[in-house]
Amino acid sequence: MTDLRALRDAFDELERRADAVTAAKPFDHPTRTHASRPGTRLVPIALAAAVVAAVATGAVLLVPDADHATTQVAQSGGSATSAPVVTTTRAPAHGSPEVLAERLRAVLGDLATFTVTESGPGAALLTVPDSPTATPPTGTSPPASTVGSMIGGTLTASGVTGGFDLVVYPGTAGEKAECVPDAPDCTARDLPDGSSLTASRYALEGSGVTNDVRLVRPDGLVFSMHVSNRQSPKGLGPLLGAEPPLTVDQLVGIATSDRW
Amino acid sequence: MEFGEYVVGRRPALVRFATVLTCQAWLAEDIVSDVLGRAFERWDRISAMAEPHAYVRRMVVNEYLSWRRRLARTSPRAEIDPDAAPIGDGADERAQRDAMIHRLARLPRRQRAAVVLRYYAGLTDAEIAGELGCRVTTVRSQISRALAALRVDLTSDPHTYQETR
Repeated sequence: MTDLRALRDAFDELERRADAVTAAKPFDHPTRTHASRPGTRLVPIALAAAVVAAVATGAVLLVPDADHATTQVAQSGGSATSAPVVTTTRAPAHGSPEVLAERLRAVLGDLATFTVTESGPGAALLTVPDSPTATPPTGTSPPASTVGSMIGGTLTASGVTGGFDLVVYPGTAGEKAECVPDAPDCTARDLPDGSSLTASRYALEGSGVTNDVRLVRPDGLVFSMHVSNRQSPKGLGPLLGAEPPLTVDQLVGIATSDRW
Repeated sequence: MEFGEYVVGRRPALVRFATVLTCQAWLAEDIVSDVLGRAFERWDRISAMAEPHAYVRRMVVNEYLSWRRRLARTSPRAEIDPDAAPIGDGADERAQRDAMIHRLARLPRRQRAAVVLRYYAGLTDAEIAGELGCRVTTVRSQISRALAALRVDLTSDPHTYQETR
């Protein structure tokens, strides 16, 4: 046995580690947002002395499908006898919550139906000063700097209803999906196309269970989906059933579908 | 208080708190980033509260408790592997501290939160119960079990009190 000094020493050491990380790596992560609200301010640029966020943008990693809009690309400076170049393009699934919902509906097919109750951007870039600013804040609302899309709500499959959320946003190329070290039921694997995928099942408080899948494509596009037997996949809200409406394997099938 | 002022002044403390709570600095940073993002969206309301920092800290606790964080990062992971054997550097004090951190990392989340809120944040049982959304008796039993798992004997510390409120 020991006394509280050992515990406080442990706290001190963890504080030192926190300080080391904070000093070495300032606020540079895209941060998921959870709901859209009119007028929501997402990025405190007005107060920023330095922009430290860096997220790849414009990534379109979801594979184009032939049954979508065709765009004719005008040639410039080409020969008069050249045939016009016609390419098929498709808005990325994360282009807007509406598109994301549409794609999810197509991917799910007859497997499940869902109702969207909240939607918004998939990630926000937060920018904060790395040191106190010399001038007082102006209070000016900065322009929003968001990427990707998020939808959430309830999903029903085989008569079982639960909460779900789906987030897709362009992250940083080279990142990989990884299991949290203390996650007991998480598996991670690399896919042939270079994507990384984790699939897991989490026990929440009070009989809550959430299944989730996270897929990170080689260029950083993040696909993250959760289903739960609670109203909110984060473990909040009433218990809607004994099990989530979709299994982990079904989520993996959705994430890796070529219909996105 | 403007949001930027709050972040500049309190973010380091939040990351420290979250690191003690999670035992992993990278995870703490993720949680604090997410929480600050959400706090920013409703800062008008939070800043009008009597204790905005207490509210944001509670958001950190809730974020940790309610969700298994699974954000992909390329930064080094698993600074503290719960299954790894403690490795000391030869000094007894350091070895003891490392062992304590590993025991802390192995605690169930709510027990860990309770013990951190008590002995790191200095909250009372009633305040912890408010933070965790449970009864005071539950807080006491969680702390008691946590201390047993941490092998902390309060009777060996004459300056420690056992809260009875």
